[in-house]
Order: sequence, then structure tokens, then C-alpha cells
Amino acid sequence: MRCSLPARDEALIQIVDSALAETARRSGNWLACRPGCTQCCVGVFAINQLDALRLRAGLSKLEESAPERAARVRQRAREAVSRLAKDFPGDPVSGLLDGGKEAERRFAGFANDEPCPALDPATGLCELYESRPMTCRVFGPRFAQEMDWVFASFAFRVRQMKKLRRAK
Amino acid sequence: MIPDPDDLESNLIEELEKTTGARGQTIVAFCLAS
Repeated sequence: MRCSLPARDEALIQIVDSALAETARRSGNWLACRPGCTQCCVGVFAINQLDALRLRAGLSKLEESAPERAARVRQRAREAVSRLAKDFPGDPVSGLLDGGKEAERRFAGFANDEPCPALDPATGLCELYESRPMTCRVFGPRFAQEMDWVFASFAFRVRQMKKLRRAK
Repeated sequence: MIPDPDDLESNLIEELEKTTGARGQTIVAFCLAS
């Protein structure tokens, strides 16, 4: 079933991106985020149905403007599902994660080395950047500003925080 | 810094569930594979 994004999703993105842009400006050189850095793009995390709908809309748009790139995204996603389905802590047919403490415990240790299928490994850029989930939008700046970031353990902590955000 | 101070995201997720029945969480790979 094809669904439309709620009209106010654009407002949500504008609010969040504006807040993050201001934080990024204030973070200055402390902010490690830059095009080509892919540390946040490794390790599976949960997305809600609004994120999922926005991502699918972004992929449909890419199919119109750059069908080869869109096909590569879909291919990477299918390959990832093949690798991940066996141990997926949810329904591997629908792709929905299970709820509850035991499922959260299993998810915490699940696929922490798996790259995001939207990440183009050749360029280190997100193919669906404009349609990325909220977790991707709020991560780096928030962390660098509020937690006195230790860069040596960056990748590990990002993975853990992404998982923890699910339990919010 | 609170990026979404009025929690618009939760309202939209709720709206989406009411209008389409879509609920729960998934991962990017499953979302884009179909």
C-alpha cells in the first residue's frame, strides 16, 4: 500500500533541522560531522513508521531522478535483509521489531557492524539524505555538545546511543 | 537542545497510525528492500 507523508512532516523536518543547524554552528570545530564521514552509518537502529514512510518516498523520488542509484540502494537493502533475517529480533517477513525487554536486549547486540543500505560505499554519502530518519538528523551535534565527547570511542558510543533511543 | 520541543513527531506517528494502521518499528534495510 502506498501512503502519503503527513502534510506536517515538512514542518517537523524544518523544526529539527533548524535546531540542529544552530547547534552545529555553535559547536564549531567540536563537531566532527562532515560529508564522507560514515561512522554513524554503521550499525542497525530502529526507525518508526514515519521515518519508514519518508525513506520510501525518498527512494521513489530517487527512482525517478537516478534509477541506477536507486536500484543500487534497493539491492544493498535486499542483501542486508538476506544477511540479517536469520537473527532479526522481530518478524523477518514484515520487518517489524518485537517489543519488550527481551527483544530490546537482543536488538542491542544485533547487526552493530552492518552499514546502512542508503550509504553509497563509493562516495561515503547518503543517497537518501533529504529523507533520512530523525535519528540520523539529531545525532552528531547533540552528542558533541551535550556529552563532552570522547572521539576515540565515537563509533561504539554512537551505536549504543542509537539503540538506546529506541527505548525512549 | 531539544530538537522537537513540542514533540510533533509523536503526533505525526499517531496520525499515521490512525489513517493507515501502520505501527511499530523496523530497520532501514527492511524498509527499503520491498
